[in-house]
Amino acid sequence: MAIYIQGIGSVSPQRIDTGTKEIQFLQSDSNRLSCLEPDYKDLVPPMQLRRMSKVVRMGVASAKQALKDAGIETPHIITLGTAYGCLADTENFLEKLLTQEETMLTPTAFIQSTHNTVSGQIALLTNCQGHNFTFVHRGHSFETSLQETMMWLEEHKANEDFSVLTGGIDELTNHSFDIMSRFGTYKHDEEIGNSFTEGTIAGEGAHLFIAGNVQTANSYAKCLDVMLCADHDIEKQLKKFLKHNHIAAKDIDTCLVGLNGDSRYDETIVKNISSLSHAQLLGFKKWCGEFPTSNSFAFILACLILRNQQIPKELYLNPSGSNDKAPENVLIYNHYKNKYHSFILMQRL
Amino acid sequence: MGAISSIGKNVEENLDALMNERSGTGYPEFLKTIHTNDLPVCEIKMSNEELAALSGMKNALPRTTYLSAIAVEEAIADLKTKVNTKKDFDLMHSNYRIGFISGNTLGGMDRSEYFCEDYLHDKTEGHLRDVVHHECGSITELVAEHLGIHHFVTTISTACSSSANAIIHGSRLLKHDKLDIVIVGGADALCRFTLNGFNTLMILDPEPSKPFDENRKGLNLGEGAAYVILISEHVKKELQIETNLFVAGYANANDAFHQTASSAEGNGNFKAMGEALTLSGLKSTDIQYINAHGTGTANNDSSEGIAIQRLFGYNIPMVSSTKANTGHTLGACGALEAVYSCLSLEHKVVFPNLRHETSMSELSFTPIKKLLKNVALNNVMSNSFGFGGNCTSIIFSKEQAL
Repeated sequence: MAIYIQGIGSVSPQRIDTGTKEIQFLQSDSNRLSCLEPDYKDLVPPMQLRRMSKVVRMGVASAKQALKDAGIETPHIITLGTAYGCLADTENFLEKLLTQEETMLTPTAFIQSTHNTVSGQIALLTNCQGHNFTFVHRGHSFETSLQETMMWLEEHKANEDFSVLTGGIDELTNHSFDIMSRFGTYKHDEEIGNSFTEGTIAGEGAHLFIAGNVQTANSYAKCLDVMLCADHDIEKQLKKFLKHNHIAAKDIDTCLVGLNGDSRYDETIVKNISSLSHAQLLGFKKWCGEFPTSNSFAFILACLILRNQQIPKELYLNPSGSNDKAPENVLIYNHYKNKYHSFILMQRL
Repeated sequence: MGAISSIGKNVEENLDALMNERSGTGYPEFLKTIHTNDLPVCEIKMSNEELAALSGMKNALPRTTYLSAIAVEEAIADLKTKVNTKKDFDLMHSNYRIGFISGNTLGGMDRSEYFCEDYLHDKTEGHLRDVVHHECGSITELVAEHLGIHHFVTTISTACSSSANAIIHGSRLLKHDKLDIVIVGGADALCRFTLNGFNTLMILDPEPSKPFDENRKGLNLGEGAAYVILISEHVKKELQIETNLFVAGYANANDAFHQTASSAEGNGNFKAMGEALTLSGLKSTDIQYINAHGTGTANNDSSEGIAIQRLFGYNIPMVSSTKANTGHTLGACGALEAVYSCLSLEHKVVFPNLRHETSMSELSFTPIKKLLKNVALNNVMSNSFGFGGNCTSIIFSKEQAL
């Protein structure tokens, strides 16, 4: 059953204007992309804003944008995905715990370190008393949350007003960047843009949206299905996924691919979708960086591409090879560390 | 079913402790903390090495991983004994779509604490193997790999209702025919992070906790893991599985009041219990017993009690909290108490609420203080409430003989 995207919110390293529906590509070429935080004044009450850490601010702001865009004050339910939860608050409490040897501690950071802080805060600020879930399963956190959204909407298909606030959130901190660097996750600055070396670039983001059962004047696109790949034969699973949705490989005109510039993965990832011979391949991780819920950024891009009927040239993986087709069927294929592969099928209204 | 907690390393030991009013409360012996004689906890009296050996996993993994694996393996073995069609039924090599959904709140925090001791001193220090399993999802992934579960694996973290929500999510995936069999539950081990965190909130009782007592002073933290295996109707038929227990209703609601405190009227609790009842199609008078969240904090027990009164009116079911036995096991408590609710139905018993002396002034009911045997139980409600206003209620029922 298809679901309709009624409103979007984004706090990312680029600027997405939910009013004009424009994407401004403002930064790349660094091994660390940080979010451009919006002016929170209109989005979060100042008293509450002061107490929020970055990821909570980002999440709440993105939620408020999505609700405003959809013209809704309170969603029926909230379901979010985040692999890391509230890292900065966790680090803050852990650091004090260790350096002060378990003495003289204060509760604020601990309270906000809980993984469901963002979804709880959104519920509080929007007075949403419905179902409220947070999935924290690494590179499938966002996708599981999307699957949950689709199940809820199917159960409430008779209810035209039913709305779900959903999406993916993760923050990057100095400590997480330093520790992930020790694992060899990121490229050195001089290797940016070179996909023949190992490593990727670090990123973060909060991408939330409103999903509903019916098409409205606000609707961006419809999402037909999501598949969380269970085994390693990705080509076979793609076939199964397309067949299940009664769509031929040649009808996929646009594919947002989770290539991240890491020489260990990129070749395999391209090979996995070699059956999509007619699709314009687009990359998104150059603009949001790599993080476990990066696919929520791709989801927002797909919504804008389908609504605007225009593909920003910055996303082309092969700038000379545009297929000039109007975007109709968009497939999002992502992976995280060559594990946690997933497919999302989106369609023009 | 599978369970490990401070009152027993399997379901049978847990049942025995509940029947005999044993509590796992005492000062920490294995947890390295300065609070070894001021904050009682409900600790599993086994070292990480002993738990690793019991789980069959390698050393130096997060403690939560071992607890989770031990309880999941017990649940799988228990299912095997209930299969009547094949003597050597092997769940992992069957053709069924098998899911594993686990809740936890801290991932590998205990190892991250060790890592940071060195790392904070010098950023090039600290064993990376100690921080690699920091994420909550990593615990689930380690256990899934150990047991060979691939079809569908996910992790839920909604504070103290995490594993109750894993049960809801599993039930819904079965309902939507996305899976045939799903192992649901959760795990959390004690660590300095939570012990000190809850201590800053000033909601830890310096004595063994007294849920639903007028003079209660707070909760004791505990550790544990518990899982139940949910099967679809067709699997039950095909394998002729002997069980008459089922999930009759469930609901998750948000209190939308405060990040860590419940509203005085228990709005979220009331909504979760009410919606679980609606989904089950049962009347409030059909619920015979509530295994309450009952942490022992002033705030929880009052708002939960008031919500129960609002929903059940003059017909309040029997109520008790088993947290005086096990402590508050955070991400594990919803599943642990789900196992206890099923044991109640199976053995027709209501477990006593330990250490209760004085009834709460704002409540019209008193919890059950002594073990009740041969009770006619058909429907048991289990509540789990957590930070972020997260409120979950699940109803477990027994099919009535015709």
